[in-house]
Amino acid sequence: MAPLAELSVTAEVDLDRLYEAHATALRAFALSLTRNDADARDLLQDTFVKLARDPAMLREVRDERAFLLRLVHHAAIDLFRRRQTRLKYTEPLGDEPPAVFAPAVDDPDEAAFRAALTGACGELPADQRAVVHLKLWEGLTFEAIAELMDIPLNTAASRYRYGIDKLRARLRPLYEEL
Amino acid sequence: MNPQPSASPDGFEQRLAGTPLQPVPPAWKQDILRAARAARPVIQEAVTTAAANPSSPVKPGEPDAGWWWRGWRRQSSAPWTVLAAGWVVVALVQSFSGWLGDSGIESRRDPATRSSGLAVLAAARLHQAELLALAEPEQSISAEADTARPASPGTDSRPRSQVVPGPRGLDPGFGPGWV
Repeated sequence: MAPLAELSVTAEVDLDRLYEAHATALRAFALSLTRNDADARDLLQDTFVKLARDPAMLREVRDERAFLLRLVHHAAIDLFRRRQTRLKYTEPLGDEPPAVFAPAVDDPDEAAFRAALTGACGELPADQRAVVHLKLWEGLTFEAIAELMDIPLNTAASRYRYGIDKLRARLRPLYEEL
Repeated sequence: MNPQPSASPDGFEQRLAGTPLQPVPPAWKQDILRAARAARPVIQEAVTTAAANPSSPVKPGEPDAGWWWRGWRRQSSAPWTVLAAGWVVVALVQSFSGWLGDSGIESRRDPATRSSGLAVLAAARLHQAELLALAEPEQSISAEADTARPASPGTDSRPRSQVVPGPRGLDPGFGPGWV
């Protein structure tokens, strides 16, 4: 058993390290789920609070990132249940598209593409959007996505296919132009 | 339609995947980590206690097997109190019912008590039979149980309030051996 002082310091260091390593991805996934910056922040905080309360939960984890993304997903489900706004989960929200992607300040074409991509992602159903996000920007396998979202493997694959087809249809003109 | 996508992403997917994500606003980090650290009062408290109290059995830098137990107990004092009170009530009820049960068993095992109980039961049966004979003189009370037994509910058309109950002692369900 680690000494107390050492244990405490280790836990603090771990939180810092975890934040530095995963916060961007977790926040982007939370934003993809909620389409709301404040909710994404709440989910991120909930996730780190859970980690702080039970640091041992990471002990047996093989893929730290996937595990943390799973925590965010569960926190999002809890959030929507608490608010009892199922429509919020199934329908894209927001008057203003959330800033999931980094701004391209020096390249107007790229900025236009990213803005279009943000809008196209927002038009996807939430379940497809989550799978597309995990596949494209987290590089997870369908097996990992299925496990993370508690869905069958084929469901994960089909959601990705439908989602990517919609994005392709929506963005192809701009993509080919670029 | 086969929804299974190909294993290798095409150029469009690679283009999308190459789009960088927006970093977390720097101001979030401090607040989020502060909230997370505040959620670990047990470890912090144990460390602080050990450091502030040198005479404590828990020395700074030494393992303490019971810190989590003390912290948990301190954090959840109200539930622990309720649980302890519940167990006390359960123990009291258990001992009280056990005492009653033991005395009941003893009285049943006592032959004198049992014979006096049978005598009381026989006297009660006789009294009930006499009362029935007074209420319905046309009926013979010297008969056995079958004649005095009330008709079954399905065959008696009278309201239940007008039915005079038969002696319970004659009911086969309350025969002499029921005790």
